[in-house]
Amino acid sequence: MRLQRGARAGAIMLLAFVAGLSGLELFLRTTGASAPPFARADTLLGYARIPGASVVYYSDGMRIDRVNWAGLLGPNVAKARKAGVLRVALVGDSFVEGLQLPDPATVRGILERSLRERTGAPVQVIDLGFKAFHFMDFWLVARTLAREWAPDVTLITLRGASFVQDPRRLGPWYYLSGDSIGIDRSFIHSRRYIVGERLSALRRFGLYSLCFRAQWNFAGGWWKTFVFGKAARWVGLVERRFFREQPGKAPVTLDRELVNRVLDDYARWNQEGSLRIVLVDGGDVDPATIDAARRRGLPMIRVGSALDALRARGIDPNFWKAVGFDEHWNAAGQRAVARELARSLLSDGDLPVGRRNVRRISPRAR
Amino acid sequence: MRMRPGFAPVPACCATRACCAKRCPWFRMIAVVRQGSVPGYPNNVLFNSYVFLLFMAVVLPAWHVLPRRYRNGLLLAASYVFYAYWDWRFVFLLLASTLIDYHVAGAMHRQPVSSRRKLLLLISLVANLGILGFFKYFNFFVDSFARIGEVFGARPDALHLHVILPVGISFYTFQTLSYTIDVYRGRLEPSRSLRDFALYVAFFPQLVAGPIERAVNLLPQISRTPEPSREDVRAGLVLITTGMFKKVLVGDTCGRFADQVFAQPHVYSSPFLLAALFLFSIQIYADFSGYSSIARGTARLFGIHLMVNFEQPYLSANITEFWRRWHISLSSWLRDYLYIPLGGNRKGSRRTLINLFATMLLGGLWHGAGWNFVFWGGLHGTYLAAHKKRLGSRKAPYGFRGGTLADVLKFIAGVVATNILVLMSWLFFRAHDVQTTRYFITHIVSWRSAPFAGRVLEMCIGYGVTVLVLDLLEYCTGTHEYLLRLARPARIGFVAAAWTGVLLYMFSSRSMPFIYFQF
Repeated sequence: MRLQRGARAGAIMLLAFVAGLSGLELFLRTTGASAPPFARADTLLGYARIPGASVVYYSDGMRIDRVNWAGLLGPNVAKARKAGVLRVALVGDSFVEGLQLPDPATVRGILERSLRERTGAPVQVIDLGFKAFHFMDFWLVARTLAREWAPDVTLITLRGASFVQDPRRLGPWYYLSGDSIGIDRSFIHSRRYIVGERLSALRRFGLYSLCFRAQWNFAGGWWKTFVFGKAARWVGLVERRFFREQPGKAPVTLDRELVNRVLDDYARWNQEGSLRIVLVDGGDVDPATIDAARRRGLPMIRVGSALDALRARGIDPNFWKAVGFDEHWNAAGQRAVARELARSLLSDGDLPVGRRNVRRISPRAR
Repeated sequence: MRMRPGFAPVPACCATRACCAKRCPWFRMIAVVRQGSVPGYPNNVLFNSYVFLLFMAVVLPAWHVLPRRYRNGLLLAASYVFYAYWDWRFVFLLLASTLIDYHVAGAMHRQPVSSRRKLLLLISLVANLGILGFFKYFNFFVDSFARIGEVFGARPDALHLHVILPVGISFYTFQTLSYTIDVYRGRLEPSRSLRDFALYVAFFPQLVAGPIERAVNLLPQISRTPEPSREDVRAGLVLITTGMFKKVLVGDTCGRFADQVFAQPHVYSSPFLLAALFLFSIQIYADFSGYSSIARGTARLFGIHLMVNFEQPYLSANITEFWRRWHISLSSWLRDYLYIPLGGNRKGSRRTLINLFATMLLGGLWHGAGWNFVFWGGLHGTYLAAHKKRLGSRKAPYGFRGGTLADVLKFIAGVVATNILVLMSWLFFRAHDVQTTRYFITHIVSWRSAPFAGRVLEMCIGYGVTVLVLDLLEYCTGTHEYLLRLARPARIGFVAAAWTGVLLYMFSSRSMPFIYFQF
């Protein structure tokens, strides 16, 4: 009798728990408090967006959007390009990705508008920015994704932080292999990749909101985050202190030779005409790299002065974070960068001005 | 000096990080207010943080284990540690306020001469309001006079001080003031125990953001050193659960949207602006009522019953009812210690309206040292005065009393109209400068839709329905502890589900400080 009563109470408890979680799930989904993940683990780049996924992003900024059919941010654009359409590919990290602002306020949106106004031609700017990508990832993106879009110009936006690769990140590891660049994709066997994949699979059962949170915790070292909460930060500090010198465990600055190989590739592509690469110095890029790019005849646009001009006027070009490592460009910063890019592209002759020139320069249009 | 998308103005050096950020007092103060946490710096013990859970895990068992005569001492020590965790220096301010009012009230009680009693009251008022005035309003008045001075070519900028606003100063000042005034009016015997009085001022669950407790209610409970019953513990846990749910899952998530849009309104379209205003109205309610519930629940675990601070204000059918349901401890304080002493409704209808307006104007100023708060208070004063004028000698209706379909429709229309008025006023409360306010108004009025407006509408409906359901549960059951009405297994199941969500969010995102901490 007592056992029966206990079982009944247990069943009611379980039922109430499940009902509560379902209510919570409904709340999280409708309010967007926890959006389903719009990105997934990817075997090529380690990170890819899910085509058609809804984007509800909150961090230093906010964006409510939808990933386009091609897995990119921005409007739906067909890969096949109509004649006369000017196309610019933007390759970079989270600064270019611009998840912090609605599309019209990002570098992509403003650059597209500015170029359209200045050239009078239809312009498409393709956002190939991905958070946490570095110099070598840009090279891989340019080699693979950018080519598919056949742009007139590919802008590769570099920053000081772009020259560090972190072995703890889910993504390929680049190394020198004789005359070529080797790509190690062993990350697909890592625990985090596998767990992330499995958790993503739970989306099929509609558990994505709470699951997203769980996934987040796993990505940050779930046991640390869940058990210690904010103390994870202290644990992380201790970890870094003890394991800093351990090979392969700490972020490392890219080998100079590796950087030079990539710059050689860019110069070669420019000569061949397979891709027109223009480097963008987004700030803090070391002088040796800038010199190396110049020696190879790679065009470079420096947007640092535009950002400095903003600062001189007392306008902060970055989102303000009390504690943070990436201070992304805010609306003012994105606007300044985009306008500087548009101005430089047109004045340096990287892009044609006027419809007649557009038709002439777009033979690659498919 | 520019206004930042937070709560405090930031000097240009902070904007450009020209200073050493960690040493800069501005950086530190604003970071604490906005982020709730800065590595290497002390912080508020936020209710929605693991530190608070650890704090309670130590204090609560220790309090239960101790003999009764030591319990208040422990609670007092814990309350001071709680406050010192933010900034130990301001503990002395709290202590000073406590000592002044304890001794003044004692002397007042012993003093038979009316004029001397008045003088003692004046000393207490000057001391308390002086401290509050300096820490909270000094720069506000200096800056306001500076603008006037600029017209005549004067430059009084040098008077501007970088004063840190002590957390909870408005709350504990009003609490100690009510004690002294009640003793002066002969409504209360002064406390004989300094320890108990100090605990009344510094009791940690309500120290930093209320409810602004009356000594008549709290002091006798403290003096008795109550033994919490099983009912108290159950109710306490349920209140903490609902409070945490409101704060972490409703308030904080709404706040993320509202904060972003208010920070850079010019990059968002009309639907986003209206949604931000709507979500801010939900955020401030969920945040503050959530805090009050956690405070009440925490106090119940120690056997202390704090007053109810919110009674489903967004279900009010008129503005007078709204103020009877919103931040009840403040509105009743303003009524008893400001509106009634000003004459209340006893000096004619015209004076009543002026009294109402003046009370709300000062109520607005209590919220923050800024003209936007004054305007917000003035707007509510105007609403209340207009409603009072319309009512005449009749009493404002309170709550839904049932009746015909026409009555139901009238009630719903009243609720909608009241909410629209309140929503409009929140714009002045949240937008800290005229430009932002103007931008919001012009872009909402000249409506231009944008992509994803549907998604934003869906989000607003989601939050609105959630808050409505939570309020209706309280409204219909007539209690905040409605979960206690459920059978034990069902209650445990729901509480466990709520805590699953709360913990996942609490530990995986930044703790957002309570909005009212800044007041």
